[in-house]
Amino acid sequence: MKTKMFASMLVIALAAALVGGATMALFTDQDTNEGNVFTAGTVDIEAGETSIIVGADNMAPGDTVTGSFVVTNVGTLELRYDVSALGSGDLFAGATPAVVEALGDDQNVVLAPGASATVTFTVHLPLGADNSYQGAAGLVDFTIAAEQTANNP
Amino acid sequence: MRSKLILGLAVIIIVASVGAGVTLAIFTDQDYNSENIFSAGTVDIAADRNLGDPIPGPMFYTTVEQGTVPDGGDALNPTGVWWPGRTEYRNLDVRNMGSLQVRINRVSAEITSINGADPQPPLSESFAANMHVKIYVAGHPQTKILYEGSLANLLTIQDCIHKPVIAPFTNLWPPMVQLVYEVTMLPQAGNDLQGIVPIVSFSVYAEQTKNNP
Repeated sequence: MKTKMFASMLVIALAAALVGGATMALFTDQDTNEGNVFTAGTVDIEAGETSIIVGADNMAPGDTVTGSFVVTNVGTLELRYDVSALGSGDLFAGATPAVVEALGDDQNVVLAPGASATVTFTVHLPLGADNSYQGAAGLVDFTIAAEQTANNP
Repeated sequence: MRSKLILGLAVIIIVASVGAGVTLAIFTDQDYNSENIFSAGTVDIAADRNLGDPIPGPMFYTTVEQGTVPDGGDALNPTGVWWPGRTEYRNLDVRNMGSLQVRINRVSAEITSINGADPQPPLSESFAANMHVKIYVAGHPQTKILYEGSLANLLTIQDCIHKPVIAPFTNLWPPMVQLVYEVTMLPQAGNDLQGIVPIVSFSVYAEQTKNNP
């Protein structure tokens, strides 16, 4: 009888504590390191104007003309670039089209931020070009594809 | 009959005494043990960068100017810009300035701004998803890791895997534990992150160890 009474009192006490909002607490603290700046770099390459190509406006079969343009790394990361060329128009079509070819390195060229390099190229009209190419014109588009060199073997 | 008589007399005497204003007294005394002092302990931590930089200041900063403390000397460890695949390490000294032994139990981070404005998705989400954070006790990169995962997960408070304990501050120098924050911009981070300038806060939390299994 005495045990039952004690148990009942304990239950009542616990219930009262819960109703009264009794909570467990611990001492805690926190501190913060603020203002951490993570500036992401940029890969940004810029191609300048193509230099005047002497004879490009009056090519004869067998002619080779040379031109160049400057590429500059205007980003904040070191980069490497590849150059590719695509000719369009009558001069670059048909059986014996004109051929564009880069001189020197045009693949995997590394440029530091702010640095520039010159891309030199030739356009050659094969000697076998027939009369169908007389007066033909064409355009060449150069694509410079760049990527970061860091962590990029 | 005799008992009844004695009881009656006693009642008469008591009533007479009260009526006449006679008081009853007993000898008493009391003493005090006063001014007992109960000082509650303190849980108080201070987290500061290290690697020789003046404090306070951020662990990670791009330029010297961003990391320099006014009247504290130049910052020494600018990261420069970040790129996919880059990892940098910085130290955070967590000192116990309180009188109770503590354990570091939780960590978190907050992106406070991007490009000078409030962080907004999807850019903030992309940044958080592509930054990997590993926090460990200096010298124990494999065994005492507090957190390892994305910055995105760390934006909500995370319970530490390892919970380093720091003794109370009782002598000249506060006891400390040195944490390493290893941060990586993941290789798959995309061009949407090019040139962004996010600012991040890193928080550490401590709790008492006593009565706290």
